[in-house]
Amino acid sequence: MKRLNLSLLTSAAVLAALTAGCQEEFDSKTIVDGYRVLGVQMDPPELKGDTDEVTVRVLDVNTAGSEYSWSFCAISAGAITAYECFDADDLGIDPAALGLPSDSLEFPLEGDGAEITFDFQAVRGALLAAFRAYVVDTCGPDNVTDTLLYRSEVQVFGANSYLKLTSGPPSGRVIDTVHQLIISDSEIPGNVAPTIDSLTLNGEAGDITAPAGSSVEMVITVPESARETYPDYDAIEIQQQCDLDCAAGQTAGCVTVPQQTERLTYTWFTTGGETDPPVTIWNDTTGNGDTSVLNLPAEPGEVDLYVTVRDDRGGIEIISRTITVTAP
Amino acid sequence: MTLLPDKGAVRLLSLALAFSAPWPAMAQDAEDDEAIVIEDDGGDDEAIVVEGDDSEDAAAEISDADGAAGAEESASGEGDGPKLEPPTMLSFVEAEYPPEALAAGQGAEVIMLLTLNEAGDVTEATISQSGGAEFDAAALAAARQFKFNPAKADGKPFGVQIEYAYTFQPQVEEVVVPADIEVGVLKGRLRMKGTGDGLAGLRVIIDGTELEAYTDEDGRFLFEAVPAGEIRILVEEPNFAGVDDDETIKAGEEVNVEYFLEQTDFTGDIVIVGKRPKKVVARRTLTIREIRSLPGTSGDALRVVQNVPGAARIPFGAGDLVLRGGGQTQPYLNEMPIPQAFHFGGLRATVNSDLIEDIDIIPGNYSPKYGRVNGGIVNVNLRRPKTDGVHGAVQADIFDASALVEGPIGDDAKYGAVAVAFRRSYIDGVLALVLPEDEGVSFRTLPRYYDGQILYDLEVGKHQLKLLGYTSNDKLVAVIEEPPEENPQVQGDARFNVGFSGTQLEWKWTPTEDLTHTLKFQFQYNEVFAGVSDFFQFDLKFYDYYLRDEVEWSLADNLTLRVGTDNYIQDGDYFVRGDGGPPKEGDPPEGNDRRETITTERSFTFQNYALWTELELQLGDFTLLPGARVDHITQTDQTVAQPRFTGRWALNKSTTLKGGVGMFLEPPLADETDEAFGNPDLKLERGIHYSVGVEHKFTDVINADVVFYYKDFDNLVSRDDRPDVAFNNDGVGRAYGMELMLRHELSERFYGWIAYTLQVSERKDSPGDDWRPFDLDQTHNLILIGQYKLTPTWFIGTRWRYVTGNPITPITGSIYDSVNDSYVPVSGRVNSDRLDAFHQLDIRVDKIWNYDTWRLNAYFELQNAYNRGNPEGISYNYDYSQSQSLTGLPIIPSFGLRGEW
Repeated sequence: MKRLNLSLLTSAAVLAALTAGCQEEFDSKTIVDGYRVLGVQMDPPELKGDTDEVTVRVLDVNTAGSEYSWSFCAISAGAITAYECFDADDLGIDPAALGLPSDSLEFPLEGDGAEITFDFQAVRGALLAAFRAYVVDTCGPDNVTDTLLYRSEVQVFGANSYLKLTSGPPSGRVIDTVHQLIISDSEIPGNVAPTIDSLTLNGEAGDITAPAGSSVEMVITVPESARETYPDYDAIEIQQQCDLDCAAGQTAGCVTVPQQTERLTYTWFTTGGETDPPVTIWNDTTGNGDTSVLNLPAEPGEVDLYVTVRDDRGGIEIISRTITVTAP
Repeated sequence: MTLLPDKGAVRLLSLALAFSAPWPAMAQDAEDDEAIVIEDDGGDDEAIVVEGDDSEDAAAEISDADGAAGAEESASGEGDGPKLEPPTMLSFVEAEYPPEALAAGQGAEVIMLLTLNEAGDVTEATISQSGGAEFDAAALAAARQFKFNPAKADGKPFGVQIEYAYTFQPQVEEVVVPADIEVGVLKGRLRMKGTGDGLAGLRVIIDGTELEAYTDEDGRFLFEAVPAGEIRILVEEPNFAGVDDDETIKAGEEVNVEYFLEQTDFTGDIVIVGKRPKKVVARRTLTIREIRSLPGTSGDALRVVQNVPGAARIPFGAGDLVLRGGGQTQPYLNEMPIPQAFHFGGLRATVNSDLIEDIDIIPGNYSPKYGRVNGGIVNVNLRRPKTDGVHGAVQADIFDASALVEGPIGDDAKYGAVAVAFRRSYIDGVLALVLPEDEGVSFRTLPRYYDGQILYDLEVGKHQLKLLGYTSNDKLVAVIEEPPEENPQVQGDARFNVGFSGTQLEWKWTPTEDLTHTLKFQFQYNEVFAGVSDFFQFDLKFYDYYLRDEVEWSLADNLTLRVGTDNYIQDGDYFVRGDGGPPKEGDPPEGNDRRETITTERSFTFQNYALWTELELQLGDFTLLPGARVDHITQTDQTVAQPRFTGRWALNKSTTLKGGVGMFLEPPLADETDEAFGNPDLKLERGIHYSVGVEHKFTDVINADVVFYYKDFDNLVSRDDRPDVAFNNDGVGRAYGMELMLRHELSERFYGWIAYTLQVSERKDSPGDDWRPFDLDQTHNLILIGQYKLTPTWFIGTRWRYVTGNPITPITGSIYDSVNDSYVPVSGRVNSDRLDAFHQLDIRVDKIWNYDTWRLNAYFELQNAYNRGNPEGISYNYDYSQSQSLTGLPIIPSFGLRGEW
């Protein structure tokens, strides 16, 4: 085994961190100054094998005249290939025999708005066909089950299924978005998207007026139940690998799947001024992270505030407020 | 004073030496043929003349066995005498006088050529001038039992050849002191001011008399019969402030004196360079004293590796070693592999510079004794601990502090010698002062490192035993208080810990003058931990067992055979949770997000066995070294033979042609054959190295070394596009170019070199791909180094570097990942763009204060003197729509102190 260069990586990381202070800072991603996609809300956020209708809504802002194009990609290699879908030929399958519309495993979904509804069972066939092609190749035809397919679809084979969206105003910035489909075992309770009880600005529940240059304390309230407890995905990955090993005739010991509680991530977007901190976390070690501060711009005007709440499994909720900034 | 002549006279025939320090300067190349020939002065068989190429160096006289006499070192050049400690006899064995000759009252002188090793043992004795067959045989038999104090320079022993004249005289003339003169004894010692080292070979006279003595290897002198009364003691040496002192001698009493002499001229100082025959096309050997004061190295010897031709400049000055266009470069310690050469940031080597004898940097076409890498070899040789008393050094600068203590055990190092060194950084304290407070990161354990070595050396007869214990550790624990908005999941602790500890045993046995057997064994424990939050964790622990056994057999005067075995077993386990394994050459700058999180835990045992042989054949002006190596590597389950050949042709005294070709193999990285992250079916990467070159001496002090090379890689591990295969062996590569080393040896005040590399290094990841630049394809790499002696105690040095900017892969867009709330870059063609060129000036100023028994060296170093914002990468905003250069370290002043005794 050759030596590891972790010390080199660490060195580079430390030095890069030290020198980073010498760089000019870019604007925070939470400053919204044009068309932006803040997230994709899917209902249900986590799919099962028998899920039928799925509603998908893009959470975008500054949307004047935006156009939307949706598609579904059965398998891609992920970010390394910019989420480009495999062709059926890549996997050695016949697209016609599987009823796929083309050689590509990406095909369009109906709907051209910010929200669409599609039938998961309609695309599930392509998904299954694609996965089956190389699960069969890996484990042998007798060992392929739907459960195995679903469990192994992402992590084990490094393949990914995505909803893809191209959106934006005709003459403005166009954003390509991917939203990974999370398909869980039917025995595991499906994820429920987080909900938001309230967002207060300086203690007030609605939109407010505040002087330019002042700070606004923002407090978000999310019910305790929004943080669900679920089986540890990493452990599940071990379980999946174990299943595959077993399917291949091996009998490696399998592990008990531990439970973990979701982490919620709050992102505080603004169209004016800046939020500090721009991202907060609610987990077991850092507290509920429910507070941030909006430092308003020095000029009067209107500032839109958007706060997204995400869990670990694709669930998202959003809330917004408008602040009228007056002369100091 | 009766010296050696009744037992023989010594003259040193050849030494590879150079003129340099104590101004911490560099000297001649180890492999220069600028050996200074030390010849008999012709008129006095007690004296020898040390001659340089210009035949005007020093003279020396050898002290006798009881140390009562000394050596004479006359001035060279402009009155400068090199500080040389010639070999002195420890144990004399009287030859059996041929009975018939004795009866006949016949005498004879037999001149022998004795080869002394670094231990002072006579490893070879031949007749240089016969005194007759019986006398020759008797003299040879006696000489082979002689024991010498080895030749030394600045306390460092080295092997030499000497001529030894054994004189057979049937009658011995006794020296008789007239009984009617009242005399006393004068004992004394001359020591170097600043270090306290004894000064050997200096002439001490008592004014107004014919009495004179020469200091022995410890600087001691003795007058056994000095007329009582007032005397004037004189020492006049061109390189030192002299002694002119009055003393009173009383009849029958003994007077002891001690003088500390300050060195006034340093150009005559000698640094002995470990002279290894050139057996490879490009081996660059530099001594510790040459390199520890180079600007930009902060006094760390190993950092010189980045100042020689063929060595790529590593971004941020980090301490990786990439030679001649890629392939792994293996760091060795005493020819045994160590996992890392440098601590965090490449600031310091993991081995204390004070213990380093020299460093071999072999960028390619190396001997078959080395293998399992496709790049180059960097071997750090540790020196033997000093045996002439207790010595030490303490050094501190803004990064760390270190200490070394060494000395003999028992009289005359009867039980060996030991050295202990330790270093600990306090860069964590410095960083705590300069790190911005609002960066969202706090350090629980700031970057800190330590290392330690304990070295024991023992010589018993024809055996030499060396034991080394060592440890090295780097640690960093950061608390991410505010997750980066690009990746909110990054929170909690970031921990890095890299450490290794080991023991080396080296046994060298020279049963006959033609045979040497060297056995080396190393046991090493390694641990690596890296973890960031809960989404990345790498925990590796493994044991190394390394065995190298080598036999060198001189079959004839011009034929030497070397055979050896080189075995390496690694046994350990690891736990990994992360995304698709570590980054790989050619990956886009923002990482390879090919896979989702994978968790794996495995045990491994990699066994690597190798047999090798090499023949060294001298045919006139040709030196030919055919060799071969067979490796068996369990990681890939392959057994492969690798033929290698190098040769040299000395066209004349000034010019040598050289060349080599050979096959080299390299196993895949561990993660690349991991079942979860990689492909267990991968095979060895292969490289064919070709090189030709020429060495030429323009003048006594200016020489050049030019090498043209071509490296042809195939079977390189590449990422695979298929969904179920992580890697394949479809990659190929090539690296070709020219390396130039133009060097000005130390003259009266100046030394320096120009190192230039012109290089193309390319890779093709798949058969159908176009060639792309290697990650560190640096077309031009120019290094100018010079040091100038302003006064005997003030020196200034400078280094300027210009390097073509590294290739980068442009980012052409991004895709928003809504689940992770992050943007994923869309990369353009791999390495199709370049950063701006790197150039930087470093300046260093040294000042030395010499005290009686110790020396203080203060230095000030200014790195990146004109504060060039050298681009080391590109940083992007959250969605990759904006970018700016990520620059390296700004101007950094540093200060250091070093005391040694």
